[in-house]
Amino acid sequence: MNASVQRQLPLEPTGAAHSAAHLAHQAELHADLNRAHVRFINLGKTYQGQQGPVDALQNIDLAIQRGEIFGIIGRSGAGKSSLIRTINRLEQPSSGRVLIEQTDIGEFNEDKLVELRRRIGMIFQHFNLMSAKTVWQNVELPLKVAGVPKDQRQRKVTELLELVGLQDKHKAYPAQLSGGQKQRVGIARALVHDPAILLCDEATSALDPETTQSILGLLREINQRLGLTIILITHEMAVIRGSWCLNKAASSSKARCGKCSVTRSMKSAKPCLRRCSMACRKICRHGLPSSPKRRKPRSYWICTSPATAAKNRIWQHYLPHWAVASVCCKAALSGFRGTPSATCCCRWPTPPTASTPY
Amino acid sequence: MWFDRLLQGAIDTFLMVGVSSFIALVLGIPLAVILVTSGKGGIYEAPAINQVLGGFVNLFRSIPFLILMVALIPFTRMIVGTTYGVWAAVVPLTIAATPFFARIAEVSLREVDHGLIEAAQAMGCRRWHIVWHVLLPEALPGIVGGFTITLVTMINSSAMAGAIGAGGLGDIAYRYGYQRFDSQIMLTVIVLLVILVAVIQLGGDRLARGLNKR
Repeated sequence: MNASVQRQLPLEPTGAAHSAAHLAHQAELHADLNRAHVRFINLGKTYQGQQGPVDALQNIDLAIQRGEIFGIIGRSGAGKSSLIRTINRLEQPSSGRVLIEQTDIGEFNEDKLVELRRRIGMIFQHFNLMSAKTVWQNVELPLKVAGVPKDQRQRKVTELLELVGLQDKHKAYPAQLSGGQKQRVGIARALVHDPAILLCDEATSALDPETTQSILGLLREINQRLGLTIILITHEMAVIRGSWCLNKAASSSKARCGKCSVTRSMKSAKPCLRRCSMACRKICRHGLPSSPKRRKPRSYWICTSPATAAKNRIWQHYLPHWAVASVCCKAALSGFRGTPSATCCCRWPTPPTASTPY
Repeated sequence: MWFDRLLQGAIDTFLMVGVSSFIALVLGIPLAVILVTSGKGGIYEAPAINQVLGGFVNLFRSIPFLILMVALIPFTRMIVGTTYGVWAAVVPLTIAATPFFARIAEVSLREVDHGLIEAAQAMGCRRWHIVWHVLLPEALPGIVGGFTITLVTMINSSAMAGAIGAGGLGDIAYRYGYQRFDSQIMLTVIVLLVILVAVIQLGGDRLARGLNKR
């Protein structure tokens, strides 16, 4: 890590006397964590597999800020879907907490859960549209079950179909649509309650590259226009590399892997993912934090507990806004065989505004 | 004279099969929904209810219809007041048809993609919304196909009901065709039944195809 970035950080210990616990406590109080939109605290999820219990998620600590597009990448079976499903409680975590807008959703009863789910939209890899309903009826369904009156429903559905560009297809059945169109219907349906968070569970994995780009463009537009927090899962590098944010400068610059202290060209930067020790299991590293004067930061994000972050002086976790997803993940994720797995989490840059420090 | 007898037989068959199948439809769909949703991983998970109901359904499915009719004589007498005739036959026919149809409907309901149920949960649907807006519409083509099969099976069973004086086309074929060795009558009734079944099957298939938007 270079020194200039260290200077920025308010929690930098001045003396060696600060214990890891103290630093962790400081980290806990960091403002960013407290205003995080979605926060995982020591999350764990264990499935009962055929050969015994399988740990899909272990000790996940993560904070996602409002209005961010947050990507999670990894191999199949790594636990990405499990992680994202704990946000709207389609999966119950075995341990740990999930905080959405600083409220622990673990204690919610059915009514509150229904209310929560109306504030979170989700789109799926296989679209999950009702085949017996037309496009209009599909998009209308969340409003209908919420008891919204007919004229309001009509207005909202028309507005959303226009947003996704399918206003002329409202009478078609999903079987008559192409994959990209189906995903657009899915997006319209997810947005119909004006949610604050949009979860995308491998939303473009079933689509061809061109359609993928158009869907990603739509998501980016939605993020910019409506200020939604988007949490995106994918296993394709192309999705992350493609239209989003990586610039040529980042891809050709040098990257220094802090863990093993090797410098290599970013273009060929394979992640120095090491099988970390038990304490730092979740660390995956790539990229470099840039000097704050540069407008093109290249940093990376990791999920790790505040204690281990303190111990390893890894603070990117708490840096606001800027990060380039220069994801080069051979990221971890050895899947469901009991070996340690890691999730690499990357954030996309939000456009610079007057208020950002860089 | 034969025409009158056949006409009366046809009306009796329609009545028996129609009423018992209608009741089987009305009772069988909720039964199937309960069986599916109370199973493991279902939305209203309740293993005890699932086991008990499943046990009952299996019990009535395993008894052959002829024996079921005879075994239900006291129950029939209690409900209808008599043990012979069309209405007396409706009781065992209903009790045979309902679990049969429930099982077929259960298969159709189970085949609804679990992703759809997840999507419905993710959009804030309560559990009975999921049943009403997702499970039933998606399984409807399968349920209609199952109902068609049930109707045809009940036509078969109604011929056995002829043995307790219920009447119907099967009864005419049995009494005049078999016991009196009048093969012309038997052939006529068989042809009529084939036409009836063909019409029902065609109608059912067309309806199922129309409802299937996949």
